Amino acid sequence: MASRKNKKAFPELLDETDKDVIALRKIFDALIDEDNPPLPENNTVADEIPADDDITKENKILSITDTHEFVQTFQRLDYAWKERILLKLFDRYHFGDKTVDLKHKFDKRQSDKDKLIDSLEYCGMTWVHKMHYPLHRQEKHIIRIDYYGTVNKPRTDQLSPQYAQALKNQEEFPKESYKIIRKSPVWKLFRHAKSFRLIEGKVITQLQKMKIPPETLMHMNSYDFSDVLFEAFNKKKDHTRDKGNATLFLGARQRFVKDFIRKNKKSFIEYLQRHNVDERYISALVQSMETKGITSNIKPLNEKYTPEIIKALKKHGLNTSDLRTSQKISEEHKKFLYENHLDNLLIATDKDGHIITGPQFSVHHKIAVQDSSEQPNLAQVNYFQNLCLVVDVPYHRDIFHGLDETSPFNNREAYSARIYLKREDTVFFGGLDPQDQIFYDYTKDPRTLRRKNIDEPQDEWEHIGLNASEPKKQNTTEIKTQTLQNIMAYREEYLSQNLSEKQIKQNIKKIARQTNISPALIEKLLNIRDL
Amino acid sequence: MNNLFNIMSKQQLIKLGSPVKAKDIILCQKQLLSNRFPTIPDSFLKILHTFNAVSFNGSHIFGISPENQYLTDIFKANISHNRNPNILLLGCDEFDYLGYNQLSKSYQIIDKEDAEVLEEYPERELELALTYILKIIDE
Repeated sequence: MASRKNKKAFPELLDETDKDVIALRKIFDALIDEDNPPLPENNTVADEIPADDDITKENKILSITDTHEFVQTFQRLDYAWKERILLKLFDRYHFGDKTVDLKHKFDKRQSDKDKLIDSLEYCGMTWVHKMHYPLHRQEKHIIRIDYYGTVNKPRTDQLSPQYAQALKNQEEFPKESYKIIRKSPVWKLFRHAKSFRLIEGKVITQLQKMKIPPETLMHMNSYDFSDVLFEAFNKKKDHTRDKGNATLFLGARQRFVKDFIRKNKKSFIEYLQRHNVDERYISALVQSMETKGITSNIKPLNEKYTPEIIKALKKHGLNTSDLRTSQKISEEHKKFLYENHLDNLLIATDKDGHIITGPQFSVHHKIAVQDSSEQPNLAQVNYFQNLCLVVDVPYHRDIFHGLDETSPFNNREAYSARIYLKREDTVFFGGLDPQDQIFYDYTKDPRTLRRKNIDEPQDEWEHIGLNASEPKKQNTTEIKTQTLQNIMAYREEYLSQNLSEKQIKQNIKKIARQTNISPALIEKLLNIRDL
Repeated sequence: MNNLFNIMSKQQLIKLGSPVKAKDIILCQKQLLSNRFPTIPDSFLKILHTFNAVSFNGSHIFGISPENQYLTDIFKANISHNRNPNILLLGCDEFDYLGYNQLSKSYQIIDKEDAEVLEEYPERELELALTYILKIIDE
């Protein structure tokens, strides 16, 4: 938090002494100041539990029946013990009490759930029970493609009749006629995400190549567009061409990992070193994150010759007399090992011959997709501010989704309960100790602000978040906050549009009318006079 | 299926469990039955004879008591996440589960959040269902 004092949200634009600016800044700060509840003093052994050994202590804690008493004990444990007890409790909640007979195995289930819910409050997490309106299937489809960056070849039964018919068409159409794509209701949904806007040209080229009549675009569903995308990006030329999936772009997941390591490399490496991860694993993991955005199944490779590699090369008739174990493996020899299926020898091992391993990480949606989809913009589901890198085992697999629940709602299942992180700016969760967590406020990142406002550019005014029918329902402060953010984020877009002075003044008047902010202040915020 | 196996074996960043043992299959099927879950279908067991669980870039195909902590056990995953007695969960990615529906005898891609069936593959098309979850590209 201390660093925030030195940071300016919009340093080059605002007069920091302006009272409106000060008021708005207070609102921003209030929005992000929600922290974990104060943690109790660290205490390696809960006072009231004198334990002969760890197992006895564990059993004593788990045998506390009263939830309040349990939580009081829990909050006084250190982070390692908290993790240990949480995992045991999750285990007993899911698999039953192994110390009692089958009939009474799940007697403690509800009480364990209560204990878990209350204990999580002291671990920077909270269990939220909430009903949802499920997303439309086509929206889910688009969210998944945006996240993974890959598209599956749709089955014929998923295609719309109009598109299926259009595939038989033989007539050609000029490229210009496909500009109508921006009026397609479903493509508009795709266009919420920048990734799809960037490949729009390729989609148009493919539509023309496939001789799809332009009027069909109005009736195409998301699977039809997936079919076009698959055809445009599928590189296979053999009999497997019509199966599987194709890569469209680097998905949000991998983009997030790359961005995370770019911004937090030092803290992340320090975390790994604190947990005694082998340096070779750290180096391979960081490299994989930087180059591919991948965080799992990392296999560190030997950079230098090992006696086993030299022996294998010699066995295959290569001259190895000049090779030393201190030398870097030549590219030619690496290629030889791969070609002869000896690449296992390249995998680094410890002194006992075991493959070097380390922790794996997964990308987690901090806010459920259903929740984040309450935002007007579909693309926000996969925004970096909604993603977090989490150590896979035990946190992502056993804890973060350990209390997920769904229940019937409107004749459909709806996500009703889930564990949330209390700090919304968590970008890395490596353990309960705040030292093992990394925070970065993407909501203040200028790139996020810009992107939030250019995604779904329907018209110039919706573009900057000013919907004429909405402001009346909001209070002035909310409108001012939103507008300020939007204006700042869009300053660059305005610049690129080369608007005339007359157009700029008209726009300012329109914003002023809709938001009750004086034209002078808007002009000041936009710093129009200095453009 | 051989095509998928070939693609998988070419991947560097994949974790594949060693083939499952017959004894473990029997034990797991018994556990599933006694907890009122469907048993593992034959088509899926064939996979486990080659790779007992797979982990690839955040996607998982479950296995039977896999030896590696990053590979997921079918029984444990179902106990923890499955509330539908007609479905057996066999894999997952960040958004969806791969499930086997014993009533329709098909593999389904099921939304984790609202349990909507997003894709359905007849048993013979298991390879496509696995490709959907793993998102492995052969290029």
